[in-house]
Amino acid sequence: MPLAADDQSRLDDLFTHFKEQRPRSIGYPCNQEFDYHELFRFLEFSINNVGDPFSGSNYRLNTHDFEREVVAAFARYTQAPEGDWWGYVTNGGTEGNMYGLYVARELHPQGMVYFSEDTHYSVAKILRLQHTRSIMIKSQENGQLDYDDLRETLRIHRDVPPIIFANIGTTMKGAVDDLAVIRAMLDDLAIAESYIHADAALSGMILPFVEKPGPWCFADGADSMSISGHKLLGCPLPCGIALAKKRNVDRIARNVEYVGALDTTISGSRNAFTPLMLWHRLRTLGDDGIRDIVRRSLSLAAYAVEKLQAADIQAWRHDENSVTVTFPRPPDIVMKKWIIAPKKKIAHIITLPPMNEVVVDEFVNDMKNNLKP
Amino acid sequence: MKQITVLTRKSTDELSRVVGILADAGINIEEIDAERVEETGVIVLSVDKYDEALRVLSSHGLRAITQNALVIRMEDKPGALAAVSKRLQNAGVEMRSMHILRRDAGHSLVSLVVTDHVQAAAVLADIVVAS
Repeated sequence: MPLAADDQSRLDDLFTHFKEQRPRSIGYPCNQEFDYHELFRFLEFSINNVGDPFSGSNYRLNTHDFEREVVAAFARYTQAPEGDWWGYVTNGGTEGNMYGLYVARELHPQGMVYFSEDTHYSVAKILRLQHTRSIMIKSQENGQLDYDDLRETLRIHRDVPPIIFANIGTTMKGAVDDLAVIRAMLDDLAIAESYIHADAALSGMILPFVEKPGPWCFADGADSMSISGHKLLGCPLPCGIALAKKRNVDRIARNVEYVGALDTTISGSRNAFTPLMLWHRLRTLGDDGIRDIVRRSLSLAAYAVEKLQAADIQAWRHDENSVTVTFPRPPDIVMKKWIIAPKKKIAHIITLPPMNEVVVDEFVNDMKNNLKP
Repeated sequence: MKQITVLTRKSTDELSRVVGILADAGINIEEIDAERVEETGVIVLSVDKYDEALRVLSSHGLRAITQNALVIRMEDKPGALAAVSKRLQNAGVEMRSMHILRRDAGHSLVSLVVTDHVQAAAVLADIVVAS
């Protein structure tokens, strides 16, 4: 039975609403420039990636082959140790963080999680869900961990294995915690057992493509990482990648063997379409295509900072590798027109496609015209 | 009786604002106590509709803390939270989480979730703001 006219009309309205809102959505980290029409025919199947993508599944309508290729690409981008990585496509960055903290907690049941004030709120929810002990560490003004606070905290709790939740690009300020500093601190305090999980939701697809990324990935001391698929790459469905060292995953797989499956993925049924989309995106863009998106986005971020500052608006970004441009919270009238997520006294725009100089100029004008003299 | 702690900016209007929000939602306040901690107003109240009060306060952008958390005030210096956690550990109280709620004027307001709320409040009596 076809849809009733009223229902069809509701869908039409929703479509129009999305079309109107899309150009105004400048505060969220989503590349909205993509074309997946070549994959639409797969929507006629009930596909499901249940289980470990590296172990096979009895449910044969899956995209595990494609998922493995996607995970391998991200392992390469994050310099995961050759032959010692494992991962899967998640339903977003939060699941990747949950997976990393799960591995950490299984390895160090008495461990204490340390995370900064600038960490995404979902992490506190994960810690509560997993019943893991945690202490919040102060942040510096720029959004990075306060290393003095972390050092003192580690020193006082030297007897407890630390699980450090590092932000590779904080939500509001795009700040990147320095993994080399954290590793050096752990060595200096002679802490034998520790774990670092890196939340690289947005920056995880930027830093592999810049000249001077700083210490941020497995090669710099991360034990697990979470990266979003729908952010820099762009995908209409939320998705992400969880990556961890295989030796650790194998250890916890043995621990959970009692449930009758060595599979450590968090969900049962898993999305089989998003791995296909990520695969399609990686194949059609190639490394050069992604590098070009990164270059254009960073260049636009520099432009936005310059334009805002020229309008006497205090704008800044964490460093030259950040597409997050932070500034004082806009007046309500500006917030009404543009889709921006403020936090307390600040807000930001994220300069991902299709945003361009024209959009930035319009936004800066709105800010300028509505600021109190 | 269930208790809620609300953090506000220091302003004479904030107490009446909180009372107004709850009254508009048809929630009765059974007890209320307010004090200032540097730049922050701390309002501790007991209400007849606990979950509804939490929802309505949060929806108005207010930081409402449930009764299973202790709120402490401490000096804002490196390792301060770890030192508190150590005090609890030495007293045999297990700490689940510590969250910085607000930092200003050289001090932090922190929410604390522990296994033994009463004992923790006694151990940290010198820095507890709301328990």
